Amino acid sequence: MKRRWIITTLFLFLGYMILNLTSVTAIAAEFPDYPVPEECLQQAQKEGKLHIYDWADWWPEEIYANFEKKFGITIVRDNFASDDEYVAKFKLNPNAPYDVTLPSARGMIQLKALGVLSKLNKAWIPNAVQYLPEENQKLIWFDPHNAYGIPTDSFFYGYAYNVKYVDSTDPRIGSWGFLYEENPYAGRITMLDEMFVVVGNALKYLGYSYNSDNEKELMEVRDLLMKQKSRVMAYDSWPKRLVLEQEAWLSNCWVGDSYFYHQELDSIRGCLPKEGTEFGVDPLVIPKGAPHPAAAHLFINYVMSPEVNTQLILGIGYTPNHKATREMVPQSFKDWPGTIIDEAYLQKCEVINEKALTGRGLEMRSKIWEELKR
Amino acid sequence: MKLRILFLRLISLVTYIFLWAPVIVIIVFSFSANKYGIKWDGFTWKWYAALLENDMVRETCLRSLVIALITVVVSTFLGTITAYGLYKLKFKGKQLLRTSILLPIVMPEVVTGAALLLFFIKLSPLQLGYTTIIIAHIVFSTPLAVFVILGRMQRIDWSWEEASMDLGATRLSTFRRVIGPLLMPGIAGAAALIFPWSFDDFVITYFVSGIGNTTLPIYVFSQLRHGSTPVINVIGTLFTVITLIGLLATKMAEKRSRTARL
Amino acid sequence: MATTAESRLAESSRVQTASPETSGEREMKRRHRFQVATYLGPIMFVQVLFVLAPLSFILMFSVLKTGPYGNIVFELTLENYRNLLDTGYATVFFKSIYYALQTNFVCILLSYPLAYYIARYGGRWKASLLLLIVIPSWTAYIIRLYALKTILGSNGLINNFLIDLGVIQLPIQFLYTSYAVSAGLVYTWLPFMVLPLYAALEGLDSSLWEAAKDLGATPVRRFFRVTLPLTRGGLLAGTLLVFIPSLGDWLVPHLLGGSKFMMAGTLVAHKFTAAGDIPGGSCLAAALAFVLLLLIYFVIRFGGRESLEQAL
Repeated sequence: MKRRWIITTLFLFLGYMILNLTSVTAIAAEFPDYPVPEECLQQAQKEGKLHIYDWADWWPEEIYANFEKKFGITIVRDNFASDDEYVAKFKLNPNAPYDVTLPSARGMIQLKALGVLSKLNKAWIPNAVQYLPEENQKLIWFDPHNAYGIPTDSFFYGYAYNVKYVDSTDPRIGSWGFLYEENPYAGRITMLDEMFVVVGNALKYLGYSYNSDNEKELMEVRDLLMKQKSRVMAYDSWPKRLVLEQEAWLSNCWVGDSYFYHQELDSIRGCLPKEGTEFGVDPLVIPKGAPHPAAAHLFINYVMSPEVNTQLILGIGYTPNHKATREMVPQSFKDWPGTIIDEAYLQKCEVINEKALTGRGLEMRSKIWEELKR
Repeated sequence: MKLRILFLRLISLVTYIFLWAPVIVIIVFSFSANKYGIKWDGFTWKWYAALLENDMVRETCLRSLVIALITVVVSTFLGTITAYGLYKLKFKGKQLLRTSILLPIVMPEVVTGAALLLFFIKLSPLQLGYTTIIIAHIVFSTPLAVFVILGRMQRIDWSWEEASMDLGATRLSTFRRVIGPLLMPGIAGAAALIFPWSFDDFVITYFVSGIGNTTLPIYVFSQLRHGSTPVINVIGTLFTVITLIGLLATKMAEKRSRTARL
Repeated sequence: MATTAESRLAESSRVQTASPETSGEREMKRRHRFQVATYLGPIMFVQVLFVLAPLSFILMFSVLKTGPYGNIVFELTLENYRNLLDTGYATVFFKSIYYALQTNFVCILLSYPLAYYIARYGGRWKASLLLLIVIPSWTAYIIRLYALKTILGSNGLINNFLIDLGVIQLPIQFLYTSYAVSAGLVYTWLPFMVLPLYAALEGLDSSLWEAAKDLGATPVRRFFRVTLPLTRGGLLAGTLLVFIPSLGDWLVPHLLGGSKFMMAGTLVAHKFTAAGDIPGGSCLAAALAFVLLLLIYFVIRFGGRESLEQAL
């Protein structure tokens, strides 16, 4: 009799505990951490070190610290300031001895073409295999089956605007046209200082392919950009300070960044233009000749575990690639434009490809850019 | 006469204000609670506390400091003997040497950086790392030392040297006792110029650095993604304040020793 | 290497030239050669190994082709040089030269009085006054440029001050104009003009100046006939330290000019990185170096043969 009481109480207590757990853990249970292969873990611990080459002050620092603590591996990090410089460095020194680096899709295409990336051992990254959304996979033409890189997040371009100064009832908001065409905010507009992005999004606005190498289409873009230049305050890839200082009222940016501008300044809104834009990813890749390959795999697997990936996404504000993460982020995050992308919008987006990156397309883009900056 | 000095003072004052205004802004913002170090949001010490916790900033800062100091010592030494040789000696190929000394400062940094990187990985046994960074810094800062010290040399009264040697001093001791002190303003000037040049260099260092050599400028630049600089403001403030205190202390010591002598 | 039968004797040993004996002459020559090797050997070593050898890579690349993904293809071509004739590059070069000249000029205008003041009236504060010029540059220059941005911005200190004074109603756009770029360039490179000028002025023999005064020369005349010619070396050294780096500066046009135009340095960097055209960039760099060396040659030529001896 007494015994039954105890058992009932225990069950009740357990039930209470389970009910008490947040929805986060409930979902996490649906997407468990797959065990890391013993072989990988052992080798990684023998290696004891990990050389990471990425952006400073972008990913939450705890991710690195927790990884070090959890696996007893020392992380040595170097930082770069732009994808272009980073690719140039690999171009000149293909054997740069890094274990994990974080290029954008464009950087990865270039690195892969240069033959400096090594194929991933997917058996060592069980977390990634399970969670990558198929519709994204289809678009990543440059890396079928994620053989060389695991995209930790996706990014889309758009613009941020300050409703204190910008008329939020303007019907053109929602289109690239608001940014590229005549508007009353001359001298308060910033554009990203990225050749492929500024040209590509203008192409999208005009209804052409992001990767067009058609001379007539690119000439139209050239005229549009030359006309726009007189209204542009600055070409700045990191306009955060300008936006928050309210120097700039209308800023071309990664949509994810606008989420953070909004956290700092209430009057900032983000816009993911209806014409579509580039669909980009930030993959983790392992260069050939990485001195600590097992630790590198272990790290990628770690970043792709549901909790860590959620921590990462909430830390950077970009679009999650991870099914679990998509569910685990709070509603306020999901509601912001560009954080969760539906299939229909994805159809309008394009991944950058060799038509823009090589030959005629690259040449014309460089010419336009050099003329714009003259 | 009076008017002329007044005019000189005015221009000097304006120039000093111009040079110091941004530094003062940095110092003020290092105490501002604003997360981006862009406006005054009330007083705080938290960025100073953050500096103590931020290993990356401290490490990179120390690295840059060591690199800059070694560069300053080697370049000024190399610059001094080179300037002396160029000033004193005549030989065939001098013109060529002078022109080639100019090259590192004539080339855009990205080119020097790329060229040195290629050289180090293709033709030299050196591993990319501190050695290559320091060599690169010496390469681009020695020309500065040569020019500044040469500029000083033409203003020296060289008869002192002759007099000293006539009195039987060796060339070395003449240099140490006579020419060296005369050259000192030039050498100090060169060192003062090279230090920030090396400490601030981003592009060349970026190319020739190896694993785990991230220097302060590279760190700062890569932080631009989010444009937050409060901790960097703190570093700037500390550098400025420490040098100013050092300066003041030297002045005080000087004054005390003077009064003690009187 | 440097010495041959033609080589003249060292200036310093001229005093000792006494005996016409051949053995003595040979001895002198040997000593001279030894001196050249001691004083200039190290720099020659550095130059050959770490300047000429690496830069020969750049020259080599400038005649190579670029592959589809920016890899370097080992095929000879002169196409890069042909592309140089594209008028766009000339515009960029001229614009940068204009800005660099302007910077240099303003730097001289500000530095000369300052250096002169410190050198003549600084007294025991000389060292401190000089350090006060240098200390600001010990704070990473990118941070100072950001601070300058904050000062110049439309909500910045200057605009707020002017509005408070009632001088203007609406903020003036300083930032991202050519004025901001000029201000930034002058700000960055000013110390590099002051110090060589000071070094030159400091060594100035004040008795010369007194003599000129005694002979009844007016201050203006004294300045142009005595002070200025004697500090020409410092002026040229300062010019080299200001003109050239400001021509290659990329951060100032980027941060204060809003990247709306490229300076020569930015263009080369763009070629190396975003455009992914290392051979094209190498070719531009070679051309830039050539133009600069030519320019320097003329500046020094213009400054006179003897100041050429002095400045370099």
